[in-house]
Amino acid sequence: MSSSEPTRSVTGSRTPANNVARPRTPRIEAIAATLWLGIILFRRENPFRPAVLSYWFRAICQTLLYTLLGVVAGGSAGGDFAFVGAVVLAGVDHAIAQVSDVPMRDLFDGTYPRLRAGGLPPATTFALRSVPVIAAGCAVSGVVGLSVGLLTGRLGLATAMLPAIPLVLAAMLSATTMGLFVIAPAIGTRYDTLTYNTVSVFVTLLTGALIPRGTHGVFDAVGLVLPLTNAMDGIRSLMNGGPWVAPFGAELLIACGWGLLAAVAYTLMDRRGLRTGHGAFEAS
Amino acid sequence: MQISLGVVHSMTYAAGILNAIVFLGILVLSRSTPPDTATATSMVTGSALAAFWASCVWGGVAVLRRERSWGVFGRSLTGVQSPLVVLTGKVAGYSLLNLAVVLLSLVGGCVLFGLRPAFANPPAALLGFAVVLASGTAASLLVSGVLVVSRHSLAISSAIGMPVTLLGGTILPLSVFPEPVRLVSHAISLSWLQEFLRSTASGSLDWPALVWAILLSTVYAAVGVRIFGRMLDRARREATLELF
Repeated sequence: MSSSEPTRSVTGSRTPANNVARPRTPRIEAIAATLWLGIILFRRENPFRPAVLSYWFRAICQTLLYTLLGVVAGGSAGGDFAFVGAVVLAGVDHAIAQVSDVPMRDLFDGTYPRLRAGGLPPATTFALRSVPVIAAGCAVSGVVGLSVGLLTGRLGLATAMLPAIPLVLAAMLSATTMGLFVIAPAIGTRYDTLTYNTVSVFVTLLTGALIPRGTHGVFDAVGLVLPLTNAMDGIRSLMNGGPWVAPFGAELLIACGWGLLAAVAYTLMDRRGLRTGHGAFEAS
Repeated sequence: MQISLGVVHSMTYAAGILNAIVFLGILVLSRSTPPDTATATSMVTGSALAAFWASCVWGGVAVLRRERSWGVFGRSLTGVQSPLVVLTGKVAGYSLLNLAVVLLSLVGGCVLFGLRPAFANPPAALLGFAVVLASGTAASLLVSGVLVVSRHSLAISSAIGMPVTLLGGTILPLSVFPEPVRLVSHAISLSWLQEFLRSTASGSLDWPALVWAILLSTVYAAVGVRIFGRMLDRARREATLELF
């Protein structure tokens, strides 16, 4: 380790190893700058044409497929059930896949050492840079709700979902925090695509978005800790005039849990890099 | 060589195993009663075709993109062997690997979901899957040719995979669509292949469906060859395409 490489104090604050005082950026300013940079990076990597349009088109086709499969399995009521779930699932899938790019970007660009020397811990930086992903997930759900609602005569159902926007937001938040966590062990390996795609399979099958829960004990138990499960319960309850606050709170708890795991994972990875001089982000 | 490269690539498993399990899981778990043998066979073959198509779209892009990123694409096209033969061999190798991964994952899926598919005519089913492999190779050839001329190949491949799954008559029966949409579906070889494979469960084989699938696959291959030739022209004579 070179003498100028930053180290951590006992309290966790960052100071250069040679004790030369580094100008400190006010924390709120650093947070705002990181948030803004996250938006710029997201827009750079996802130009509206063709990237966003192709994602939207794919999500519309996927939601239409799931809705029609619901019709085949359970008639019109089955189609309604699948439509509501598939609309939110489209955004959640998008969030899980997109958020993996947030930490991977520093691996590909070789910018992690500079991130490490910045004013915010890497885990906080990744969390702030993930905010556009939450917004993009909500946008996907809105677009597919409108499009597939029009195509399948379920625009009224899509409109009835509008009061559930807080629950959709909570689902996007928990999908994003879980996505940040699951990509962590794969950074620096060739298995990054396998991690978030595997999680998407579990979310698709076990959260009650497309398939009613309560038929298989093990699957139900796994579904409880996944993003979207509680939000789907809340959305369906809200649309039937039932309570939604408890599922909303449970979804936020799940989001916090995955977020905590992600923070621990990135902090440990960062400390290992500082200690050994070689971490996952240097693997490329 | 392509098989050995694909074996260690995570997208081979992401596209092959995970898609197959998702499609099969949705079909099985959304039912309130266990499917009978004929339905189970239809579910398995439909999931196999849909997942294989997703793998082919990705594989067709991956072969040429990887060569370009490694800087060997130009050499592949200027070697002693015909560039078309080289590309077809590479795409066929990838398609074979993808089909094997999909079928193996569906064996696991049948165990997981308690399905018992059965083929009354196993040789015909084998013939059907051989045509599936040829059709997938032809489709990959077509897709790879289209995508290599675009800077946005990943985005485009992401967009074209799902519509074919939706309209291909694999996991979603064509009866849910109005007649004009069904005409589009009949231009997709997967819909005919699913008809034929479904018929192998009962024993009364649907040979016309297999013939249609072969004809459409031939058209895909012919268009793919034409686009590939155009791509070579742009690279060699017009110098308007970057191969390295």
